[in-house]
Amino acid sequence: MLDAQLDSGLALAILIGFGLLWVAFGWYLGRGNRSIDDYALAGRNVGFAFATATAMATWITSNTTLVAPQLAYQFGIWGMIGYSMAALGLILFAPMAARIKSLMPHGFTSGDFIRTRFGPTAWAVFMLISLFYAMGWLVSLGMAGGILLSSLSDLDYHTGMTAILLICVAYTLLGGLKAVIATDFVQSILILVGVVIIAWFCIDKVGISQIHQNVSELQPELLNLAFPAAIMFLFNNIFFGIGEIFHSNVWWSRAFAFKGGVGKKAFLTGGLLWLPIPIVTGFVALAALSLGIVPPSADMVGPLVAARLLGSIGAVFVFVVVFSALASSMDSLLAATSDLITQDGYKRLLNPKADSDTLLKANKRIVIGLGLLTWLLCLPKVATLGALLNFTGAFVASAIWPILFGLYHPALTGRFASAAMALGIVSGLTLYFVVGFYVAAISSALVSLLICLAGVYLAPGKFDWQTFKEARDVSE
Amino acid sequence: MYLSESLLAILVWAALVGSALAPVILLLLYQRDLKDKNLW
Repeated sequence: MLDAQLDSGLALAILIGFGLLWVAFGWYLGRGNRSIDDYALAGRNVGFAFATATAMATWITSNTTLVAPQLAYQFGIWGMIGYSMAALGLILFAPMAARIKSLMPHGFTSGDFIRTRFGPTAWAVFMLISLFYAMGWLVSLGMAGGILLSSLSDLDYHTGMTAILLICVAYTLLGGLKAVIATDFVQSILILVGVVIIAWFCIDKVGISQIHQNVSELQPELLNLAFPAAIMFLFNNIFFGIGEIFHSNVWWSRAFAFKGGVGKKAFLTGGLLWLPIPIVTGFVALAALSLGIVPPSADMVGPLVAARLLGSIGAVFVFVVVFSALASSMDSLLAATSDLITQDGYKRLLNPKADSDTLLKANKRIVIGLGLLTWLLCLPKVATLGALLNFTGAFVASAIWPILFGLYHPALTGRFASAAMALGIVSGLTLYFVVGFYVAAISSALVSLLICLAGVYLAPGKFDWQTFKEARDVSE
Repeated sequence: MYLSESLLAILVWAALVGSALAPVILLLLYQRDLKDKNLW
């Protein structure tokens, strides 16, 4: 499939070497974990450097290394810029992280917040959204692992997918959030250096002028600033990215884990550092036309161009970069989703009196269970990465306004928050099938906003913020 | 309305410089936190 493919022996050797390195690192970092706070929230004491790196690295994922090139290849210039606008999610979450930490200094999960603020019905709808999204993202990452290995080496899809999942589950299990954050730091450096080198080779070997000329001749729509579907994609992606970050326990758990005063500046810096990356990875995909590459599926365009430009050593290089990008998100999702299930499922519904030791054991078992479930769901390769992720857009965007009003406005009640999320999902999914994936998130967010506004102005409640302090024992 | 070559070049170079600075900034922050014993 590629000009420069790794043979299966070399690919396996890299996988095993990398796997051992990360797992040993995870074990080393996890030695000091004594309580559920240590394991799930890194002792609630993460400093600025690690906080910034984990915010950025977690957001660099298959989205940025595989899907951003795919979207640049399909939507051109707006695909690149639209994807980079997902940085707004991180930037806008910065003040929210400070608010979350101040309202709930002892909180554990986003579910804690929704249950305390809006009650059990909204919590049930929110958990559905959270778990559906988390599984969608995990499966898309597992599938990306399989696609990566099968495109860069002689290994098949199932071997790659299994290996990446196994490595991430192992080091997350051994080290908890501390291992996730420390590996994120190393992975973010590897990814950034790799992306810059690949783009540099692209400019040096093909040239911006040549790429512009070839795209203008062969697919001028990609440079069209008035490409309607692409402009719609831009706005849709802004809401999608914001919805992903605002609702997901991946980011809430970080807000709880960072030291006091760190969350706001870490998310802001992480967002600004992330902003240019999709433009760089997207630009690489535009070189496909100049290089005469016709990818078998659009989400493989990035690795194919990079491997062609860098030759056989480049295939190793690309493998390391994309593997790091996948691992930095997969570990975070495994950790945050297992926290959510432990706190909002196991403790809330099954064992309310569980102590720290019991929760720690449950959390570790849930990490293994999640890994296994993801592996089973990844076995059939059902959708392209972009399609799978965009399907979840209708879900996550519906939670944006209930969370914002929930954090800052005492008048929104649980009834209207539940209705906003439920009807937002219904309208987003309807338009996903009737119009296209690029309107799912924006329509869901719009309907959700209208219902929240109706609730605030027609049937206002009066939430007492002190309730969060009183609910302190919810998850401790 | 199509994106000109010069605008594409400005966009790509700005993004590339930004991406190249990011690891340097992260390493400087790490060095500062390490020195202040403020990593965790």
